[in-house]
Amino acid sequence: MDNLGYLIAAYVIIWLGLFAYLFWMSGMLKTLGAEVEELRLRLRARSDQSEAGAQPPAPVEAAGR
Amino acid sequence: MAVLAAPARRRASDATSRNGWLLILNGAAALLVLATLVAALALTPPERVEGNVFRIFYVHVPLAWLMYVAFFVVFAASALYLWKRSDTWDRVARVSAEVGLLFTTLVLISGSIWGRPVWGVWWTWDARLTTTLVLWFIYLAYLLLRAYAQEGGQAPRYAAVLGIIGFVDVPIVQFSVTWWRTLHPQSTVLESGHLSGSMLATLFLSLIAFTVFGLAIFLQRFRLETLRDHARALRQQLDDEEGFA
Repeated sequence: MDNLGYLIAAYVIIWLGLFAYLFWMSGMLKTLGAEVEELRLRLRARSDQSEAGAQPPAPVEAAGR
Repeated sequence: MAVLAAPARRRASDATSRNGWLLILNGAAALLVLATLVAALALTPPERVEGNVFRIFYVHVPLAWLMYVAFFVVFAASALYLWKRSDTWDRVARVSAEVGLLFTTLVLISGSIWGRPVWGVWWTWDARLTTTLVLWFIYLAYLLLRAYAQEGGQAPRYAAVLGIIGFVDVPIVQFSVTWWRTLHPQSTVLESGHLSGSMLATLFLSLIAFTVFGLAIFLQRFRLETLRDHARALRQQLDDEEGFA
């Protein structure tokens, strides 16, 4: 009783399953890493904008001098 | 400026050291798995009755071990979540349930492929197989609850309760072969003297390799889930600020 085909099938399916999961995780890590970076940049740009908007406008005569 | 930059520098250095440890763990897992494959497929002799198909044992048993460990982690993290209400414990439980479901799926598939030449059937309603299938459905329900529940609602609490109750099936799976005598063999590998010295050595190597590999998978998945939660929080913050603007 040897049944090498069953042995090969079991090992191939197990390792394919595990590596597919690892591959999916590594893809998701890359995608999410890029998304987090983009969101951080957008938040920083927004806070820079609101800081610039909160500063009092320069007096007109001072600007004219 | 230097004062402001210090925590960021410390965070970056922590992340680098974490990544270093993860790399070492992944390297160790890869080497151990490779050694297990060589030992299981080339160095260990075939079993007297079953022949080469018995080599499925060296992946089937460690996967079942990882399944138990993963669901125990879900149980413990769920209890800790209910006690401390910490998002980290909820995340640990969520990740461990997913990884555990993957291991259970592979246990069921490898068992079925092994069962065909040995028992003559792909599937039978044997006590061990049936209780394992029930376990698979319990944690599938757990993950579906997490996936479809409203964000920020009661989902973590309900899931924690399911994570604790669901664990009741784990000892039933383990002792099913003792309580009901059906087709699946009993867990008496170490007592019966059924395995030769080299077979036992391969089994132990395989258990160690899969434990390290399982830990590496869990940590990688945990990192991914942490990043996902972080992205969600940033998106929320951005939406709030855009709402104000």
